[in-house]
Amino acid sequence: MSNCHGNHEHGNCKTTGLCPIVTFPEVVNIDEIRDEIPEVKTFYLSFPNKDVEREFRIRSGQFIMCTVFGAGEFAVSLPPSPENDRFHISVRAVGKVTHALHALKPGDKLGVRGPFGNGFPFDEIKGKNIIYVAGGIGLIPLRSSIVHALQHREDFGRIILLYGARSSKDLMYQPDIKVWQENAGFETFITIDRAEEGWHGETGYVNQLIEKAKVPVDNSVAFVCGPPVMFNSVIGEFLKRGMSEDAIISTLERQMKCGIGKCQHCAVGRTLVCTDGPVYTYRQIKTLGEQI
Amino acid sequence: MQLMNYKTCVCNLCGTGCGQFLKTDGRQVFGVAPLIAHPVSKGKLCIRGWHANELLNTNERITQPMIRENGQLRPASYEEAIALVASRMQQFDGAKGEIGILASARSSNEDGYTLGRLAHEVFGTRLQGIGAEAGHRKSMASLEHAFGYPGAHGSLTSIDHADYILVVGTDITRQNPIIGGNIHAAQRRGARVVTLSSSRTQIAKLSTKHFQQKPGTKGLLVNALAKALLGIRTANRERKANIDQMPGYSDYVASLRSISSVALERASGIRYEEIEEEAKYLEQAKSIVILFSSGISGLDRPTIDAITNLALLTDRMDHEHSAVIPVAGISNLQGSFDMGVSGEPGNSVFKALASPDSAIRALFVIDHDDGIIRDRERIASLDFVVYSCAYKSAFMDLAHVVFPLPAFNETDGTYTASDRRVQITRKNVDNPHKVLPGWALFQKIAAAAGHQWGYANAADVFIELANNTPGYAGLSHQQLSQGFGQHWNPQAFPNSRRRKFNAINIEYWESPTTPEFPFALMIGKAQHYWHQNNLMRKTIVPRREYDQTLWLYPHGYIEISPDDATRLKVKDKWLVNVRSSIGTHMKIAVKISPDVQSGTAYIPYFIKNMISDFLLPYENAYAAGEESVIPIQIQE
Amino acid sequence: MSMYILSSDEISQLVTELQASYAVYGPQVEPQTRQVFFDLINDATALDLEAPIPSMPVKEILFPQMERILKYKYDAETQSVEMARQYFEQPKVLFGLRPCDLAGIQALDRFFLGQEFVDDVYLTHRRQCLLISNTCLHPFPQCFCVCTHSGPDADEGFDLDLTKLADGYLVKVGSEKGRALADAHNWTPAKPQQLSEQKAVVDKCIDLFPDMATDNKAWVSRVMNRITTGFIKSETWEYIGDQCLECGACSFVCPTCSCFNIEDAQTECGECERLRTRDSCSFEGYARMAGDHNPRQPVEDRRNKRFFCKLSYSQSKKYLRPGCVGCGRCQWVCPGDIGLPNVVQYIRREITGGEA
Ligand SMILES: Cc1cc2nc3c(=O)[nH]c(=O)nc-3n(C[C@H](O)[C@H](O)[C@H](O)COP(=O)(O)OP(=O)(O)OC[C@H]3O[C@@H](n4cnc5c(N)ncnc54)[C@H](O)[C@@H]3O)c2cc1C
Ligand code: SF4
Ligand code: SF4
Ligand code: SF4
Ligand code: SF4
Ligand code: FES
Repeated sequence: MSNCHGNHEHGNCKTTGLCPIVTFPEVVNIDEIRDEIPEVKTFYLSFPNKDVEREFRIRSGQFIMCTVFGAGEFAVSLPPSPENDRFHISVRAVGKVTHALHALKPGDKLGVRGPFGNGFPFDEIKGKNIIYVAGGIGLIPLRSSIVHALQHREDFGRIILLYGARSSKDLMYQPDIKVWQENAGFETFITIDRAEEGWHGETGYVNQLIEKAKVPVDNSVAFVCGPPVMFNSVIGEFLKRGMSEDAIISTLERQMKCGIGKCQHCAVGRTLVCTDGPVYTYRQIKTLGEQI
Repeated sequence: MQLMNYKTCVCNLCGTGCGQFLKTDGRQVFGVAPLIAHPVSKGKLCIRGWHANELLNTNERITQPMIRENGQLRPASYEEAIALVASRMQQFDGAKGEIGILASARSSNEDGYTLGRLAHEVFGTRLQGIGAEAGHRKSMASLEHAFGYPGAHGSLTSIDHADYILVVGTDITRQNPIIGGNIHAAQRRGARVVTLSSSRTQIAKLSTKHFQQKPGTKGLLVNALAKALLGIRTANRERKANIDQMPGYSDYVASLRSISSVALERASGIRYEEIEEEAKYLEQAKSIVILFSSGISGLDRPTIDAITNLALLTDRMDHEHSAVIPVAGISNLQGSFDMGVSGEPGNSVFKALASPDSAIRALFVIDHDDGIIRDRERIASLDFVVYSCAYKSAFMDLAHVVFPLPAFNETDGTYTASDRRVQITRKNVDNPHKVLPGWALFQKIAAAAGHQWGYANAADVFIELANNTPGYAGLSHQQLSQGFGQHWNPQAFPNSRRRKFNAINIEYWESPTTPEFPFALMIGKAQHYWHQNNLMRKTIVPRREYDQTLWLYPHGYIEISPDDATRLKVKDKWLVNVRSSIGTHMKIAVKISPDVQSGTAYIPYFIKNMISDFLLPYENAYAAGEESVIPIQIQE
Repeated sequence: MSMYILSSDEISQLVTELQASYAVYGPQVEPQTRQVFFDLINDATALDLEAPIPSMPVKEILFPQMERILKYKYDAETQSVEMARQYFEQPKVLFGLRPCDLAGIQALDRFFLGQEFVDDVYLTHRRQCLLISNTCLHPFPQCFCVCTHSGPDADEGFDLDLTKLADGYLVKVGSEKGRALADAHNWTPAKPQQLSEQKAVVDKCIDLFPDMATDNKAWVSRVMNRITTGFIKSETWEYIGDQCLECGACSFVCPTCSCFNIEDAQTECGECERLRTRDSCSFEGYARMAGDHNPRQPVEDRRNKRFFCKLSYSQSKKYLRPGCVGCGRCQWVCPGDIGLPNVVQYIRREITGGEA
């Protein structure tokens, strides 16, 4: 792609032969906006330039740099599956740029660079059990991998989702969850922190679901995304059960300004989250020598 | 041959007056470089100085005169706006106190001087004041009494040579970082650096000796140090100086003698023996520099008096490397005082705005920080408000007429740093909107009111102000352009050779805390750049740094010690209810910091509603600056 | 390698000639302050090849403190956007680079152009850039390039390299571009003894380095070892961190620091520009992130980041050399007292338990 400034032997250029949008943002249209949970909206996007659209291929776990015109650029995960899924992002309004995004209407335009980052392993984990563990909006970066794995259900062992949120109102992707719960090949366990009226599911924290789900540790990988407190307790639980540190996989979030390994805002220990991550094994995270 | 892209400049972002280069093509500023040969900054700059280019690139500039019409500001020509100001101002009687002048401590001397003329000759008013002046006025009064002239004694460069450096209060590595850095360098070369502050600031950590006293007792401790010094003097007859000839000596000594070590320790938490130990070093020192902060967060008068008295008592003030310097947070606080636009005691614009029955009806304002607009409602109800500034600010909402001003590098001007060093900044960028410099604007307003001044340029203004301002005689733009400015001359003041002790009162400060309100709350612990609020908010990186704490503590914070946090059973970032003894209240997050003492609490200045709702009712606390203490209770 | 010998006049002529088709930058002395800058040359006589190391690194030209990289206008009414790139290519010559600054440019080249992605802004400034280095005849007060393999002479990366000898400048050709330039001129080839003379000049310069600098040579690699393996006491980092006044200067003057910030700023007419400004890991806001915590909050952790960046093998892999090129500028501008040479000293003191 003419816009590419990759060194071609790395990253997307190498794995897919399709180069990411590196420097100059590409315009996308907001087709539809859905309220997800309080403060979080999902934006369905499309490229007016169909050539670009054709070459825009993602892997689960990657992210894009998204420009909200007039406000700035921010990093956002890609929740759609790499295959047969609508291009969308889910964003929580936390600050200047994300609030400006929430103020937009369908038909408004955004700028997109990417996709960037290493992404979750897929081919490497074929034949294994996959355990997804998410807390709150931690489900956003995992969604892509979940949908993708379900699209290739026969390639994996058990697929389990342990998902927790503060209350039932804070559960992301409820229409997806409904579909997933009806999928016999997908074991879903969903909990909210405290009991509430009309809630018949689990209550308590996500780490307690590990016991409940009788999570297999052998020949398994766990993808864990959520707030640091949850992350630490879940990891503790997995390690106690003898899961290998290499089999626990998570994503790191850092302040990102360029997405292409130059500004160094996302530096963690010796690595840059935007190019070396955002997906790391727990063993890697541990040796980075910084806080999660 | 001049370089193409690097032009010398003086940093205008605090009262240190560091030398810098701006990287510019004459139209835009692209960057900053430090100026190695500058005697004070010696090739160093702080975060503000390094990011001056961001400020000078902001799009939030006022670019043309504006007049309020039907509630909205609309663009206007200079002619129209000036004519309006001149005619409206004629409808008020300055002599009766109907016109107030709010000058800026960031204006150049030329602008300050001509503003003074405009006020006195054209508007006929003496109701004036400089933003941030309160603290500095006390410093000036104390220094004038002690040394015979209102200004620093000695030079900031003395820090690089002195044997002994005493820093009273002030979080100097945050407020005036380059002075802080010089002090640190002095410590490393072997000078004894002693700090006195109730919380453990960075300079405290870097000092040779830190006295972490209880709040409200800085002056007492300085006096105790004087007493201990006197004790050594009495024993060591050879070193007996003839300072006993100075007026006020015997009263001073009598007061010092009355200090009781038991009461001292109870009030300050510091043992007298420790102070006696310190006095030995002080006695040994041949050159002594004392620094304290001056301005909004300055000290109270008794503390400053204790400092100036101690300085005289050391008998080392004639050494070329001795100094007593009121360190200003704002670039031209000293110069603005010199130019005579500060308020007179008992008759300042601040007082007029604060008293409901004062006669004030019109206000002429230069460059005010947007963080704190005191008496906002009163100002909003005035008949006529004129505001001039280079940058947009919340004050525009209150103004009937707005004038743009050039940025500090867009016009020639002189600025007087904390140690009286008068430096010139040459215009090195053209203002793209052909904005008039302050002095030229005031000259036009004066002309519209029938007063002809006849200045062709800023240098002309300077010639006149040098003739009329004590200490500035003999200085000129031309001469200031060689080298790095010059200190104004104290000897122009007739009393400059007559030193006098200030009268002091020994008071053992009783903490106003009670069992019901057990915490001593202090304000103004400098958080980064709060005193440059309006400017720093227009940068990128410094603003991000400024906002750091706000991100972590979006509603502001109150700093308490780890022990107190345990006692209150609160954790970092938990919200607590803070109630003051006069009943004001706020909900705020806790920040746990090992650098504060138990029983004390700090809140930063810079959070608007904290100031307006919680602090402003404490008139005295606000005025007392760094030394103010408010009793509070903290509940989960 | 072909070599020539040029008189001072020929050097001047070359500058004037290059000015016709390039923007020529070189060391110049600011008359009032005697401070040296590597600035655009207006008049060839202003070029001062004997001036001390420029006070600001030459990276200023390739990686400006602040630049506008993108301009856009969003029309909310029609929901459309216009975007335009704001950085442009300009042929330039960097004439008279000190070897440390040349090494700095090489490190930046490898970092900005040689990793997974190419930084287009840097590339645009860097493309069509002729590098002419200049051997140091004696060290300047803060220099320690001998410890970091970046001086006092350049051995790679230049198009042309100059060394002042008794009877003119020895000019070495280091690239195709340099070759072409030499071929276009009728320069006098250098004699073999002039090459030995050049070696002698370099050896003499190395001898002139203060003991402290040469002595540190072995220590720099020992310290790198320590930093890479993380065997440095937290008290040492704390001691260093306490002295940091968080001004960012060390990053701004460092020839190899590459960190930047990006911010979109509204201009008056409703347009927006994307500003790329230099940043520093010394700032608290540099690494701030979600979940209300700053992964690098205590200042000593942030300082630790800097020295890891400058003095660790893992980071060196990106630059194919140590991250520090020994220019000593950070020592000059630090209002604390923790320029890189000092930090080496502190760590050295820790290793030796206080003895020298
Ligand atoms: C790889 C990656 C993937 C991400 N995916 C998503 C996603 O799918 N959905 C989503 O809503 N957000 C996601 N984020 C976070 C998102 O980038 C930030 O919320 C956003 O940059 C905040 O920008 P702002 O201008 O609105 O906030 P600012 O005004 O800059 O900051 C406001 C608040 O946001 C926090 N913040 C700033 N930067 C970040 C950051 N990089 N990450 C998290 N918080 C930050 C600040 O601490 C502060 O509390 C992701 C971040 C990364 C690095
Ligand atoms: S200390 Fe003051 S004068 Fe010096 S660079 Fe900082 S803000 Fe500017
Ligand atoms: S770390 Fe310091 S000495 Fe080393 S290259 Fe950077 S500025 Fe120069
Ligand atoms: S991380 Fe720090 S030391 Fe490294 S390049 Fe960035 S600013 Fe320089
Ligand atoms: S120059 Fe010194 S004080 Fe400034 S950020 Fe760097 S280490 Fe800290
Ligand atoms: S986001 Fe810029 S380096 Fe990672």
